[in-house]
Amino acid sequence: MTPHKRTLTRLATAIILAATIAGLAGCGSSDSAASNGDVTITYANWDPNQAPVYQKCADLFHQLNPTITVKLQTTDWNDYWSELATGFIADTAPDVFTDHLSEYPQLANSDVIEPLNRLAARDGVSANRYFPGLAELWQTPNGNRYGFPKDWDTIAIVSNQGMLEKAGITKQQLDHATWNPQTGGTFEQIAARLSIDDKGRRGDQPGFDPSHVAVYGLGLDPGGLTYGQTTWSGFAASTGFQLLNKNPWGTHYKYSDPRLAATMAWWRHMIVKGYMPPLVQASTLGQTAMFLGGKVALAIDGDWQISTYTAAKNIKVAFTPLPAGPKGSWSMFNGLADSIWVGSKHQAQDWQWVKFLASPQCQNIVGASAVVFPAIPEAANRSVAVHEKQGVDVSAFTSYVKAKHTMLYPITLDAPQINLLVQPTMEEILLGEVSAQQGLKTVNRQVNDILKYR
Amino acid sequence: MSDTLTPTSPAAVSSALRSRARPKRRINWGRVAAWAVMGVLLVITLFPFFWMIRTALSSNPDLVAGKQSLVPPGATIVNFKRALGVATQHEITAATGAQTGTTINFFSALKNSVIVCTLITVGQVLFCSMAAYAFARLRFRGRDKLFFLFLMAMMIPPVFTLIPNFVLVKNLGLLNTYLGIAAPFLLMTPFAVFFMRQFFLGISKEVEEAAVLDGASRWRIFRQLIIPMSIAPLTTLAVLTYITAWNEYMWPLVAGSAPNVQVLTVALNAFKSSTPTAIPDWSGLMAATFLAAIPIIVLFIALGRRMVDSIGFSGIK
Amino acid sequence: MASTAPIRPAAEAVPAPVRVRRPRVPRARLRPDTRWAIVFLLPSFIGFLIFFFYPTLRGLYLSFTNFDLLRNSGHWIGLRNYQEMFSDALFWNALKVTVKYVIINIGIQTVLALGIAVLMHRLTKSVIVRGILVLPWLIPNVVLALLWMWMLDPNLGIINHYLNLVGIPSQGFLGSPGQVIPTIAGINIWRNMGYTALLLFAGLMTIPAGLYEAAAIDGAGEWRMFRTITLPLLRPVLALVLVVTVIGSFQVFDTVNVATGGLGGQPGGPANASRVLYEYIFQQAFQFYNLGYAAALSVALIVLLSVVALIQLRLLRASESDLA
Repeated sequence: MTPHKRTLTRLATAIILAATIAGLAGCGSSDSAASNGDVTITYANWDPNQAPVYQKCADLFHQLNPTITVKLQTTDWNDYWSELATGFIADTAPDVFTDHLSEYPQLANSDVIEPLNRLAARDGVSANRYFPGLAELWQTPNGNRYGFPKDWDTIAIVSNQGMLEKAGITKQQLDHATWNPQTGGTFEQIAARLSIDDKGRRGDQPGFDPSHVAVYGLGLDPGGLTYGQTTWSGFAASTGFQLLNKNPWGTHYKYSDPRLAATMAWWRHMIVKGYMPPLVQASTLGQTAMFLGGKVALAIDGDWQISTYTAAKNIKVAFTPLPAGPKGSWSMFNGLADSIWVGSKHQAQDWQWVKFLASPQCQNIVGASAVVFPAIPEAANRSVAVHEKQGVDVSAFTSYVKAKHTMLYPITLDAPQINLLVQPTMEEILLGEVSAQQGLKTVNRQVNDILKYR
Repeated sequence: MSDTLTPTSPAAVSSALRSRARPKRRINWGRVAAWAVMGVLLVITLFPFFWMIRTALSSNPDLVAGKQSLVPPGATIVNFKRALGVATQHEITAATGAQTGTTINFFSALKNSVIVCTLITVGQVLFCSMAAYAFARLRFRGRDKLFFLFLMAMMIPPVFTLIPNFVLVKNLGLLNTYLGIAAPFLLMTPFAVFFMRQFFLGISKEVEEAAVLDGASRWRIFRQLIIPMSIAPLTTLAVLTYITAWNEYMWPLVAGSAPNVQVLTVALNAFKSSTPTAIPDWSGLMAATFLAAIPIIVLFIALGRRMVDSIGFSGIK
Repeated sequence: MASTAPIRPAAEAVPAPVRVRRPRVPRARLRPDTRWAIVFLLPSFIGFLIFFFYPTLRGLYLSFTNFDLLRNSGHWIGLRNYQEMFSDALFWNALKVTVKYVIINIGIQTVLALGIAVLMHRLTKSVIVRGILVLPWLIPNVVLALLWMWMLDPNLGIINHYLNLVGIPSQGFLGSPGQVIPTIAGINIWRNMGYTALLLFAGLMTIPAGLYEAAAIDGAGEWRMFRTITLPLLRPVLALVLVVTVIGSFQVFDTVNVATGGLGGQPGGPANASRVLYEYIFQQAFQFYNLGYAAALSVALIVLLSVVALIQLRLLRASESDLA
């Protein structure tokens, strides 16, 4: 009997000892309030390019509020949301974090982010000083506001100037391109001209071989096909198409609208003609990689990518608004904001920081660095000016705002479920496995069923 | 597997193949072919590593421009410096063309990986071999049923246990600690128990029985008899466990995301794409991956021979 | 605990029965065994209870609720998750995709690993060769997935570049609905074949060399020796390896999560062609926050794994060996 007990005791001691040592050795510091009342709050984002800029904001904020320190943490996009979710459960979520329109409805619905109305009213923070339309995106139907806009983005055509010149196309021609879903307008002609097959024939020359193309006229972004931000959204909108019955907080999708069907049919048509890469080719590393590798002449992308394109060696880029459809040149209008976690222990300090982020002081700093366009118009102008000084004309991105040809990023409930249904359907359409009309009709029914029976 | 059992005693074999011919020439061609196949396999295995190093030696703008030469133009070691966190800002901008490249605290992550893996390996090898000995040699009610239950644990998809384990570790206050990251693997892994049991079963019983009759306690037998006889499989298990623990991703991501306890696999995330449409920092990622693999390769070289040469699965009967 | 258990060991349907040639042990000796069993088993058993048993029970419970990950709460809804699962087209698609993956992956990997093991056994004892073959297994899955994505890209990838050089048009690999599953299988085969071969090799070492020598003297060729000596005697190890690799294969996740759907896109594409069951479970849990439904899907996976493992063990008669 004794040997058992002795060994058991020894074992238990060893385990406890090891556990204590290991536990002590790896203690992470989670206490953020020092005894003198100084508070450290964590602020999360996913873009390492923007981290230094917001660090500058954080430093200025600390000067103005010496008792509050903001600690930045950057998590890559792929793990950002799952890490947030586990953080909510574990009470280790960041105090303030960058939020996205596709996610915040769920977060709001599950009550993990703070409504900011009361605090905003108390401190006189108005939603009017931002670009029109941005602020209402962050309000739920019951009037709760969960964030203040901090930046905005639109979509434009990125063009490889060298290829344009070789094809004999001027930037002016591209700037004034027209489009319609039936014939593709002059835009399709331009894309055709820019496409070159492996025997050197251009798309508008006889004998062009669509199955052996070396350079495609127009690129394809294989992600985000559900709302088509960097693909069909602007084009479809320029025909007068609206995806939702109302936005934000639509309750009925209109994927089966014939105008969208015509737009998607044109998209597929471009692939068949060889002016756009097939999905199979574009989907591994994406459109940006193809553009930078010289495989694509025109790309459709957002202003958050400006620095990636301008940094390319050997390629001179220019930006053009999306081609004008029957109703003009339209673009989707999106923006990020910062939300406060309900479980944060420093609500008051979090609000100070969020207020600062939404204020001209911080947004001017962001504007001066030109990584994104801040949501306050004067700050945004600074961004544009900085780009101009570097020789980059970004007026394409601001043109829609001036012309009021923007439509807001679609906001509904159950966005991830809808994405799970629509993205594969769009892929099937682009693969040619199903006709645009048929695919969209089916998915529209499925999607509206989700909204109806939630 | 086929049901036809051929006689296997040497006498039976030789009587079954009553041929006196000895065509040695045939074997040589076969060997050539075999070596050719082996050569192809080695190339297939090694090429991606070569490409990893080649990518690590390139600069990002060159990579996306699509240059495919075997030797990268302008080969540079700046990416390795970036991965180690010793590159200057100027070098970073030149290499990545961006305002700032991704930075990770390589040595801190390395230290964390080593601590966590050592913890897991020591715990698993010790406790699982104890359990395996119990299953192999001790007699008690429900032994085989219990073993079967342990084995069934292999069927549980880690995502199933992820959240409950996470909540538990949080409740114990062990989140973002080394113990917390090691916890689910520390005490028991079905494979380890199974592995050691197979081996223990094959150890001849005579010596053990003699020791029992001499009055030695089970623990003494285990410590002074069984363990010394099992150094080879124990080493094997230790190496396997260490490598598996080194490559763990999902659990350390969830339970140890704080920068001071991040292990290498989690820290490498910094090099992945930053936004939905941006491209990853390929050269940095490959450089960091290569550096992260070096300790494991060293470990394997040091212990691999012992492990491979003297494994005896004689316990599988 | 007065044990009335017979002295002979209980013969369950568990691998590796023991050959009993021991002297008869008096009954009184059985009691200490149980106590020692407690000592030896305690740590692992605690680990098993806390980190396997309890979570499984909890997961099982969750599958009958509509637990939301964000709200951290939910209530009982009975069998609704399971009913929804059976009418969920994506679930059946996931099953189909996963089974297809397992068949391709294990089929090719086992054959390759066996071949490599035999080569290591009969051709060369070089430790360097063995070391090189195991090298892919030393790299974390997630990084390998990115590396292969980079190499397999239709535009910038080196593999397609070489294919083009010999006149083969660029393949879609990860971007093609038809090729994506075989490609993922290929990546995992590349990673695991050396390691699996090593396990099989260890089994090969147990076959007495005398058998091969005798056969060689009698003029048997390599292939014949393989068929009549190696394969039958390797069966228990082969069975073990097969069971473990099949179980692992059904749970493929890291590679799919990172390499499909492009960069920052939605994994499981294109057009659901690579949405394996594990990926679907993960999406339900961490994108839709539907922990209850994800739990039900996991239960389905567990049941599937158990059935497959049992069938395998039966078919392969893993408990027996022909080694005299």
